[in-house]
Order: sequence, then structure tokens, then C-alpha cells
Amino acid sequence: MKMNNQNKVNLVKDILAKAKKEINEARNKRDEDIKKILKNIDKRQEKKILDEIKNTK
Amino acid sequence: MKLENQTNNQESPLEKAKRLKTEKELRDKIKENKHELEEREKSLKLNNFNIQKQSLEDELSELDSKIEASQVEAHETRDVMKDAELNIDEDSKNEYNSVISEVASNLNELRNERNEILEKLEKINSNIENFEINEIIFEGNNELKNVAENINKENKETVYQVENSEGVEVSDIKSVEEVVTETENSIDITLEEYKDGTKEVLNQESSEKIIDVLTIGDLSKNIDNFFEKSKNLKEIEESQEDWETKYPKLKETRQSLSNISSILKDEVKKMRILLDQVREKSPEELKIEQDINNRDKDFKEKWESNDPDSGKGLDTPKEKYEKAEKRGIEIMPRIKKDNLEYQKDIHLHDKEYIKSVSDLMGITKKNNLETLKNLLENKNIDSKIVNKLANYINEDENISLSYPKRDYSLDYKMISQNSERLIENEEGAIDWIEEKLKEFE
Repeated sequence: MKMNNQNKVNLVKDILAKAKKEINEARNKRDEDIKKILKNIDKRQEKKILDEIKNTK
Repeated sequence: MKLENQTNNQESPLEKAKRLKTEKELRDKIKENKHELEEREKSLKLNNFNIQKQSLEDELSELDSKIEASQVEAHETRDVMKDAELNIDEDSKNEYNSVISEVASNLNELRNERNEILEKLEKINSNIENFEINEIIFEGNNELKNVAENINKENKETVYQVENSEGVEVSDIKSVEEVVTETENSIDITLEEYKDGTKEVLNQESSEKIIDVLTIGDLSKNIDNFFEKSKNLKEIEESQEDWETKYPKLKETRQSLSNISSILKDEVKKMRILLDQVREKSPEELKIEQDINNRDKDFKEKWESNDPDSGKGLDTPKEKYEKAEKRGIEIMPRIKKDNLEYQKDIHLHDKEYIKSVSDLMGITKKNNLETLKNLLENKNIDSKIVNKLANYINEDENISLSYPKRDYSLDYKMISQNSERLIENEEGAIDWIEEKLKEFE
């Protein structure tokens, strides 16, 4: 494939932008997954407390 | 908190606006200074490459002069010894060989030195050519690395946060660790892809490389020398001097003309290969090539089938005719007629082929020269040099740019210079065969 330097520069910029986007997506996915885990813990904890209250009554 | 509120309460909206403005200006200034500093660093770096390049080019030019002087001296040394017949004299033969090998070794040393410099020059040229891209890749790499490091820190904090949540269970910690590992892997893959992708772009053949290979300055100098020496040679050949005076001059001029010519041929060959890579073929050229291929295919299908079921048999009509001739029996009229038809088709095929190749060479040559001119002019090469180069290429058919890459059975140079005569020959042969064929009607 033949290309001039400006094309190369543009291509490298595209690759950099793509990499940034992918890293950002990975970070967002991680945050979403962690949120779910924390939500689960919270729910479980809430249920535990409610159960405890029920049992005390 | 109370104190802070008090302070804030004391600041009027106008004061706040002014403070924010000053803070922003300061931030902008810092950013601008940073950018300027970075730009200055880049410019210094590039300047440094250019200084190194200039110094290497100076060294190269000095070495070229040394090599030229050394070559002349080597020829003189050899001629002096040969004149005295030291090369055949038994007593001096060893001495002769030793002097010759000393001279050759000196020359080789200089050539090796030249190659080393050329190698360094190639690296510097690549650094200069790819300077902007390398900088973007380098900065991008740092940026991505920083982001990846931050994410790793966040990962650790996240694990810590989950581990210390109230009511956390072992399965939660395991899940978080899985998420973190998945994130890390995904980022590693992205960084790896970035590295591979940019490397691939850097390795792409650049159309601007052609200019480096040409080493325009040298080429221009050599073209001048070539025309100058050609003129000298003609003058010497036509001079009325006696042979003894004329001969050494002729010998020397022919030798230097041949040296320059071989350098130029190498350069133009490189240029042609690069042009083949850089330039897309025009629809006209593609059409002609396709026509040649199609006619080749049709001809083979008509006469050279190897499939016995096709009814054409394994031998061409010419081979059948020759076999019959060898057997010394009377050749059947059908075999004679088939052979004539076959020969007629060969000449028709050759006639079309010569016409196509001759057209193709003209178009390719024109397009190549145009591409070359554009490339050189885009590089701000003096138009005089560009025209000089174009004239040289036009003058010397031996190293013409127009040779198509395909392996044809006829000689390109012959076709280029004699296409009309060759076509006439083919037509003559076709007429003759047609006359002969009438005997079978």
C-alpha cells in the first residue's frame, strides 16, 4: 500500500483515538459491573437487616 | 466549614468573577507555556536530525571525491604497469599482483566506509521523514500509558472498597477480582493493538521515499556529467588527431561515460521500481494489458489445447507438419493447410501484440514521467532539475521508465524503436500466407 506522510499521520491519529475510546469503554464497563456487585451487596445487607428486624419482632 | 462560608460570603459576585478570570488566565498561560516548550523541544530535535544529515552528506561527498580520485589512480597504476608489461613479466608478476591488490583493497575500504555512511543517512532520513508520526505515536503512547496507570490505581481502590463493604462475601470479592482482571486484559489488548497498528503504519511504503532514493543532487550532477562526456566523446571521435593521441582520450572518456551511465542506470532502475509501486495504473494501461492477456488466452485455447478430447490433439499444427516432414513422406494437404492457418494466426497475434505493447509503452512512459514530475515538484525540487531528469529518461531508451513488468517474448526496446517496421513485417508475412492458402481453395 502506498501513502504519503499526511495520510500516515491521519491514520496514526485514528488509531490513537480508537485506543482511547476502547480504554474508556473498558473503564465504563468496569464501573457498571462494580456498581452491580455493590448493589447486590447492599440488597443482601438490606434483606439481612429486615430479616433480623422480623426475627426480633 | 464555618470559616470557609464566611470567606465565601465576603466575596462579592464581581470579586468571584475576577478571581475565576485570573485563575483561568493563569491556567491558560501555563498550558500555553507547556505547549510552547514542547514545540521548541520538537523543533530542536528535528534541527538536530537535519544537522546530522548535513554532516553525513558532507562526509559522503568528501568520500565520493576520494573514491573518484582513488579510481583514477588505480587505473593509472594498472596502465603504467601494463604498459611496461609487468603483468606478464615473470620477474614482476608477483609485484604486479601485490600492487593491484593493494590498490583494490584501498578502494574497497573507501567503499565500505561509504556504505556505512549511507546506512546512517538512511536512518536519519527515516527519522526526519517520520518525525511528525513518531512524535504523535510517542505522545499517544505516553497518554495511553498514563490512562492505563490511573485505571490500575482505580482498580486497586475498587477492590479495597468492596473488600471493606459491610456484609461482603467471598463470592463478591471473587467477582470484583474477575471484573478487574477483565478490565486489565482488555486495556492490555488495546495497548498492544495500538503498538502493532502504529508500527504497521510506519512500515508502509511512503511515496515520499522515492525522493530519498533518488538523491536528487547527485543524480542531477551525474546527468550533467553524462551529457558533457557524451559531447566530449563525439568530439574526440570526430577529431582529426592521430590515433596514438586520440586513443588514450577515447579510452578514458568511454570509461568515465560507462561509469556514469551505470550509476544512472541503477538510480533510474530504483526510480522505476518505486514508480511502479507508487503509481496506480491508468484504466487505459489496464485495458491494454487485459487485451493482451485475453488474446494470449484465446490463442492458446484455439491452438494449444492439451486436452485430447477437444479434438485438437496434443500437437500444434506446426508440430504435426514438422513430424510429417521428418518422416519424409508426402505431407497431406490438410496438415499443410492447418499449418498455414496456424502460422497466419501467429503473425496476426504478434502484430496485435506489437501494436499493444508499443501503445502501452508510450502511455506508461508518459504517466510515469508525469508522476515523477509531480513528486519532485511537490518536494520543491528545482524545475530545471526535473526537466533535466525527464529529458535524460526520454533520451536513453535502454533505461526507459516505460518497460511494463510483464515478461513478453519480444524485446521491448526493439518494439519501442521499430514498431512500424515490425508491424509491416507481420503484415507482409500474413499476405504471403494468404496467397499460399488460396492454393487450397
